Amino acid sequence: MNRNRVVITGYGIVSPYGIGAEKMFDGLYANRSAVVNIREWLGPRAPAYHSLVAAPLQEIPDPRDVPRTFRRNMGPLAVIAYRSCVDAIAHAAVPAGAVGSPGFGIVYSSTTGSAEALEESFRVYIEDTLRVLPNSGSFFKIMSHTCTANVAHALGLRGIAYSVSSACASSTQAIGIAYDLLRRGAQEMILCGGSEELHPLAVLIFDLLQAASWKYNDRPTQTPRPFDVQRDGTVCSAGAGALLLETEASARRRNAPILGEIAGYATNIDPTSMAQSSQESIVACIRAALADAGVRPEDVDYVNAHATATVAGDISEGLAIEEVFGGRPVPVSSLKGHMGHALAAAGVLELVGSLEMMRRGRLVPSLNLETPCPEAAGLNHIPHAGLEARVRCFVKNSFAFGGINAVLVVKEYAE
Amino acid sequence: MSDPRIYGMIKDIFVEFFELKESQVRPEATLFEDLGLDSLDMVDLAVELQAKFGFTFDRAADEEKIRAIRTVRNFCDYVEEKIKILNIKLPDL
Repeated sequence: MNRNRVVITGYGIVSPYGIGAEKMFDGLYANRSAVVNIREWLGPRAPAYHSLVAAPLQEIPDPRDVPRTFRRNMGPLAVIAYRSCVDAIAHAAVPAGAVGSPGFGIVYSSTTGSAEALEESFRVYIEDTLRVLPNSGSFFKIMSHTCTANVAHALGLRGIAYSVSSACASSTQAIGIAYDLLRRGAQEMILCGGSEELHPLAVLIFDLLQAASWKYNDRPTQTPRPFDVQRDGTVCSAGAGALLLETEASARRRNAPILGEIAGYATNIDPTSMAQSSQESIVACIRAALADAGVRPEDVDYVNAHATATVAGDISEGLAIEEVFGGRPVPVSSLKGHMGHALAAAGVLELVGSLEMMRRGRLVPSLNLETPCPEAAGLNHIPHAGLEARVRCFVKNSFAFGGINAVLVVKEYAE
Repeated sequence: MSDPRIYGMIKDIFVEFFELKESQVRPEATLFEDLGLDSLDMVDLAVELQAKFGFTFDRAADEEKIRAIRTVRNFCDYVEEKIKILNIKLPDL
């Protein structure tokens, strides 16, 4: 079957480092941690938490940048999603007329709807028996497709609109679905990505599941520690990212600069554990993505790991990477040590970070990795100072609670 | 629209919630055409009536009256009438 090639022509990023991809790149390349102590932020709730670390947004888009009739339906989640999409469209220099065309779609993701709006709504519902919801926009902030719907309305989109929700694999799946739609010709351009607003409840859930870091509360920049022997869990963060994907034909027709090519994608589910994916299922997913891309393991120049720094998760992934790429020391790193785990947004933020590594020819290490754990000792970890490398092809891993795995293969674009 | 307190309180709601200028909220301004409000704004108006005056649109009893509201003045008149019927005490300005 003749399928379209799918290319990346723009991105928009809101990361813990600030608004704009350049701020994220600066933070990553400076090996600067975005993780802080959150005791003050949690206030009276703090005693309930073992984990008192997170990477919240250091710069928040002004909600008033969004017209009131759209803003009233947006929680913080959708506001940053909107900003990421507006910036991706601008970065890709998409002609104004294309945005509202039937060939322009959106596949955006979040773990849930806005948790802040959900909290407010339940407070009103429980405390005020005469009111059901705080206002007309409450449901539109809470609904699970809040990002996709709100962004589409604010931008006037008329194409395909999907909302993806698979926790920490969300944005990687969203990109994968967009890629599938474009290569079969269902759309010409698609905004895709994910958003995470960071609510105290997210930290508490990871805490409860013993997956959150808690031994570094007084040294927040030293955690999370992907693949490190002293790792003790992940650190939740906030962010939003969007890619503008389009068919190669569309990009070439309008002479758009091409930043990379989505060459392959695979996703699967591991039914053996809700909490973590097995080595076997991760191996199967990576191999399926490579096969989809028509790429051999030896063609891959860099693996951007999911590696959240949980004790068990890093072992499964480390062993899986070694099994797939064994015998050839492909450089590996995780960006969680820099900016924590932005859950639904993690995949797209890290993919854009990896695109920049490909562009610069310089790989970013796993921050806080000092002594690799024995199970990941066989990997080619990037030294703290970084690594010069010609990257023609990289793999982006994402795994989620529920046992969902998603892997993308990205290549340097060549005609 | 005889009670200026009601007009003042309603003007405040419109300015705060719908981000309008005070000068826009003229008695003869139509809610949908002149002020650009929509059906979702009417929901929020109902919520604010409850918060500020202690009652909200009574869709069962006042269906015709609510449907007839076109302007700021119509809206103020409806609120004034309900305040009288329900004997609601307004705060002094």
